[in-house]
Amino acid sequence: MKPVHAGIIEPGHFHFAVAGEPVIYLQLRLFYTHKGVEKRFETVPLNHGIFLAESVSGDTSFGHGLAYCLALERAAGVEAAAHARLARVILLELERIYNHTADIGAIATDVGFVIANSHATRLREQMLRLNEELTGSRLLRGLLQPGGLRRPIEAQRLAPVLEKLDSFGREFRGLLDLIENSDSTRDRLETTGTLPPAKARDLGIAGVAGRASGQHLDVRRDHPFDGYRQFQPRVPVFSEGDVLHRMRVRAEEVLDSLALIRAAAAELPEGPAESPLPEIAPGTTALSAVEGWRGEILHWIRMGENGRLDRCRIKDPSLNNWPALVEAIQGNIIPDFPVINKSFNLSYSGTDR
Amino acid sequence: MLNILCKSLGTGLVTIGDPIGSFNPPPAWRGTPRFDFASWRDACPAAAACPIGAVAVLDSGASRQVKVDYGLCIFCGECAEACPEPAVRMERELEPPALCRQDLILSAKYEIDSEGMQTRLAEGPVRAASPGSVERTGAAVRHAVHKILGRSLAIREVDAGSCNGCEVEIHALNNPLYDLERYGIHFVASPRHADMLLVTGPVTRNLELALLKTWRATPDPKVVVAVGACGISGGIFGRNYAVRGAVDEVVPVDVYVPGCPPRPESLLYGIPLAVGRLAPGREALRPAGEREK
Ligand code: SF4
Ligand code: SF4
Repeated sequence: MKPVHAGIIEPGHFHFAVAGEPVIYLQLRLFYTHKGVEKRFETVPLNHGIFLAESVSGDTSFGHGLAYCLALERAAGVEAAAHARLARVILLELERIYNHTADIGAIATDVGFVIANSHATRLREQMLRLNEELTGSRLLRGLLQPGGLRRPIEAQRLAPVLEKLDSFGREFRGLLDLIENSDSTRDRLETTGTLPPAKARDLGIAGVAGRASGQHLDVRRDHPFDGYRQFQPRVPVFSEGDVLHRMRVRAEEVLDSLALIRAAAAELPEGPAESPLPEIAPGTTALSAVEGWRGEILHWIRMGENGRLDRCRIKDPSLNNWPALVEAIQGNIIPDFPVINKSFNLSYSGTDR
Repeated sequence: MLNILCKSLGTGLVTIGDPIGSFNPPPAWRGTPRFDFASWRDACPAAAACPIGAVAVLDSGASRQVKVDYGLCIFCGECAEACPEPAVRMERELEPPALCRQDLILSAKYEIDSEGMQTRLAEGPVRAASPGSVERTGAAVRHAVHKILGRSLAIREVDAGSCNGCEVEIHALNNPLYDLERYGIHFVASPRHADMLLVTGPVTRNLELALLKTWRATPDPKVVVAVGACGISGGIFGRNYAVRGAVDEVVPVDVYVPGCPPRPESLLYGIPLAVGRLAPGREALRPAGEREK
């Protein structure tokens, strides 16, 4: 399949070797969307770099933005303001919810359960609107800033959002029931695209895909940042490693995110949203890790002269996980490729940068 | 089966009324920066705050040129925040899509005093009329799609290097709330079936050829819509060793939809605008590289 894929998705080149229907081997050719982002970071002032970080992978705007902020804060030796630390938990989990919801719907479509997808896209739109209600941007953009947030999240803005999240939670459970109770759907998802735990460990598979294949990894728990020092997520881990369980990891995480948001909102302190970021000495390096909705996002920076970065390195979890797709597809039939691919849903732009 | 039915009935109708004709901006939306050029005293704070130079100031002697480019703007609101004057504000209105790249650029000339304050607006910003003349209501769109295209508009989405934020919003067009299909508009898998290419992203060097080939594979007559700041101008990624730049540097573009990403309402404004350009008798355009030959 050539770089321009069918459907509204990003470009990449997939080379299949097949024996009739079953796939023997898949070769990936990526980096079509390479945009020189890391180089670009070296030319923009630090406070403008956040906008670039939010464009590394659009569906992970907040995750990448947060990783960038944390790296700068670490380099400067400061913590974000108390209000921002908890507000960031709320926003990062909102991003997780809308993306996981969309993925669950997309997995359902790819096995022909279109009604479930209609519900899922409707719920996702609800979430995008909640994002906007809270931050002014449907993709949670333009709120982060090194040292905290540009604007605080006021209690009167948060209250109605929490209420709507409750009703979202009820609807989301309904969606899960719909999918889990459909035998034909479950039948298509079970044992499809299996990635055994041993392979997942050897390949260093991260995030959702890793947890569905027995990898007990979650940056929020293992290397807590910001508000996650206070609120620990429950980390769902399965050993089956098939499409069904990648979907179940997402489902459980959405439910857990809802609980995390509620807990963080209850404790959200008033006060300034940002703490000042002191000057960072040239040559300082820092590494940050954030558990985005796909998995662990790493940003590494080295400070340069006149307030610009000298070098940075960005790792999206997709970079870890592409080899998982190659493993999982082997032995499956070509018509199952879309659903297996969707169950990983990796970011091309995040990989290619 | 029964529970599927129950869920559907329980949900009821969620499709929103004609989103093309009536945009009701959500209260928290950040909006669009608007500039009151006549009363503006100093454009420098806004220009310094803008993360991608959508507000640009050029001083030469006692005159200053101020340029605002909605084709670059990512609608972040930093300019309004940084400008102490009320001359820059975020207004709750959509920046309309444009038929020509120049229509997204406002340019004004000022006289400045020794402190760098703008004392007189010497040359007002000229702005092409908004393409409001195009039929905007849903009924008219459906009519146009029926009349010109025989009931259906087929769109091929081409990601020419986007960050996938634009794809998030294009996906949203298909959800039951916006429900693009009600206008007879749908997304197709192959450019050979398409009437319209919806192109996102700054065109990367690695995708330049793919975009051109996709464009060639689309049968005439066809229209191209450049989506988002990146598609219009290269946006936040600008131009570098890996990025070729704007979509119109590679293939001819009919409609430019500003935003980062553009709201679904903006897309729903731009797509019919392009349909209007598909009228019979339209001459075939040629890609940028071939135009001079
Ligand atoms: S809203 Fe547009 S013009 Fe204003 S600072 Fe942001 S990008 Fe620049
Ligand atoms: S316009 Fe914005 S959302 Fe669209 S591709 Fe560019 S950076 Fe991403």
